[in-house]
Amino acid sequence: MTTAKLVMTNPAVEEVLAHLRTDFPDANVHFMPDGNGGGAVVIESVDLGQDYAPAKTWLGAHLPSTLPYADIYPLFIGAEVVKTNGQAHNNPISAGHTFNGRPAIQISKRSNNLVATAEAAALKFTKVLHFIREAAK
Amino acid sequence: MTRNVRLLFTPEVFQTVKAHLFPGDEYEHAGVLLCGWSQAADRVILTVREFLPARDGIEYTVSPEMHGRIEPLFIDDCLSQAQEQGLCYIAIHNHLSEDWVAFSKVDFRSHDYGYPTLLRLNKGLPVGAAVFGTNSIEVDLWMPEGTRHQLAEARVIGSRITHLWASTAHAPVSNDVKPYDRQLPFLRNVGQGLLSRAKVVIVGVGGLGSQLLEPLVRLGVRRFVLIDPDRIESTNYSRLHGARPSDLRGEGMLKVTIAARLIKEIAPDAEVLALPADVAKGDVHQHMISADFVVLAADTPEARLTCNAVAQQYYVPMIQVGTKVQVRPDGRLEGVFGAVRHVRPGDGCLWCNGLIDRAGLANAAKTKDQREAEKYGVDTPNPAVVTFNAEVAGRTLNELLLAYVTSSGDLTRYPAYMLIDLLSGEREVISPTKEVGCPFCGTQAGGFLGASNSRRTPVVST
Repeated sequence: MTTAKLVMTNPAVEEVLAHLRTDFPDANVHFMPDGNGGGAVVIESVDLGQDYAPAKTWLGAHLPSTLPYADIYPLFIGAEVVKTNGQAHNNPISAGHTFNGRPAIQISKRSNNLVATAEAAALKFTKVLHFIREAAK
Repeated sequence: MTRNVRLLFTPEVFQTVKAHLFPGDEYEHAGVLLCGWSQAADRVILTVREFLPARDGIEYTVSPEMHGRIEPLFIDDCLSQAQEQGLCYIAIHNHLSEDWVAFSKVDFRSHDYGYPTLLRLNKGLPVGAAVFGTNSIEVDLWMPEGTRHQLAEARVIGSRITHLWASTAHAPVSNDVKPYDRQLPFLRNVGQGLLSRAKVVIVGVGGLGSQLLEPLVRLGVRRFVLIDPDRIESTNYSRLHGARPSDLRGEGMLKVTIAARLIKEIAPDAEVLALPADVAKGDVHQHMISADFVVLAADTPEARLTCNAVAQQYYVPMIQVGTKVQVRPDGRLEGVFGAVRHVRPGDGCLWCNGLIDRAGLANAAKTKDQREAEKYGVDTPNPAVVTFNAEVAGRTLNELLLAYVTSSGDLTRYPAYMLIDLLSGEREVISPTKEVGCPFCGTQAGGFLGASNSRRTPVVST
């Protein structure tokens, strides 16, 4: 018989989740632990604005066990999202990926200069959402 | 009592302590050190995080019999701070001696009288005392389980490491000096003794790390910890010192096994702990804590994160090294650079200087499948050439030697980073950035600096 080692979620990851629940009060924030102290988070749903169809989708990312030192990189949205003006997504937004088993569009935005706090880590989701909205204009 | 305490200072705190204890008036003065503490290998290691000076005549008073005492209210305040931060309490005072210092009978009587109570009040944390001469320190440390320990060695981890003992009789000596006859005029017997007792940890024994081994053994180092999870491959055979064609058979020999074999062939008496493991996983980094010197020659962001934290948290002197051959997308050579970076407590922090790739850290914590799913752009292996590694390794070894064995009490902070243009041979020496409030090298409460076991070292997975 083998026994799985129970690994506690990193307290910084728990803090990020708490911030996300505050920052996205109308969404469900699902967390799936990875067994190493981190895990995948999916915020469902978020509003991308009228420049995208559908306007509402999920936003997800892997929260590394090394938070708050690691970046949260990359982030993902649902693969079905297209621009309403008919144009393709531009870098660093790229189609054809998967996240946690879901077909996904990847947003590859690095943040190497954020302060190492859970609050700053959680803020990345809001910043990336803003970036996606602006990218379609 | 066991003589196995290692007491570690930053230059800044040490200078403050010395200025308070020896202001030039030939009286005794006192204060309290708050220290992180850990036990590793055969050492109890104390990292001095803070010095709380006792004000003469108010917090430190002298009786008509000329016996000094630290006042109870000051002790209580210091103990509260120690408990709050999970630190050890060490009361200090000075004697007017130089290269030799010891507690007096009165000192010991006061320890026997007061420390059982202090130990109880400090709730599971060690308490103790240290007495300073101008060039010597002695310690009487009381551990929570009831054991008592004296000083093995004290160090000030600056650009040059200052070594102090209770008396010069405790300084290490090299018994077999003949093989080192030609280097002794430079190192002297104490320097050779320090090398013969030193435990050097090398994280990453690949193309660069493997080049450090033979010179270190021939210098006289006899205790090694080698940490590397990788096996040799045909693509790195050309750069791996000590590798033999037979090592490529099957799945390939572990790099730490090749490194250990090389050391043992030169010095069969060497102690080598070969760990085929990732320093950023589980508790592998614990093997660094009792090191006398660490060389970080692994080039992953997670190794940098963990080792940088250990260097700041446990005051382990470290040099981070690397070479980079930069090739343009059209295949033309852009440049070849080497870096030799000292990471010392409160100085040279890799985090402050943007040398820990945070997206790389995020990647390291993912499964291979997830990394594949996220691939974006084309990954090409970094170019590497054995001769470039050799030049950087040579500088690294000299930096280690200069830092570890050549101090004569020099507490100056010299620029910690050296960048080498390996094509032109030019060298640039720079002072690294230090960010206010850095979680690793900052002095704010709750930071890693000197915190030892009171903080959890960041690792990728447990």
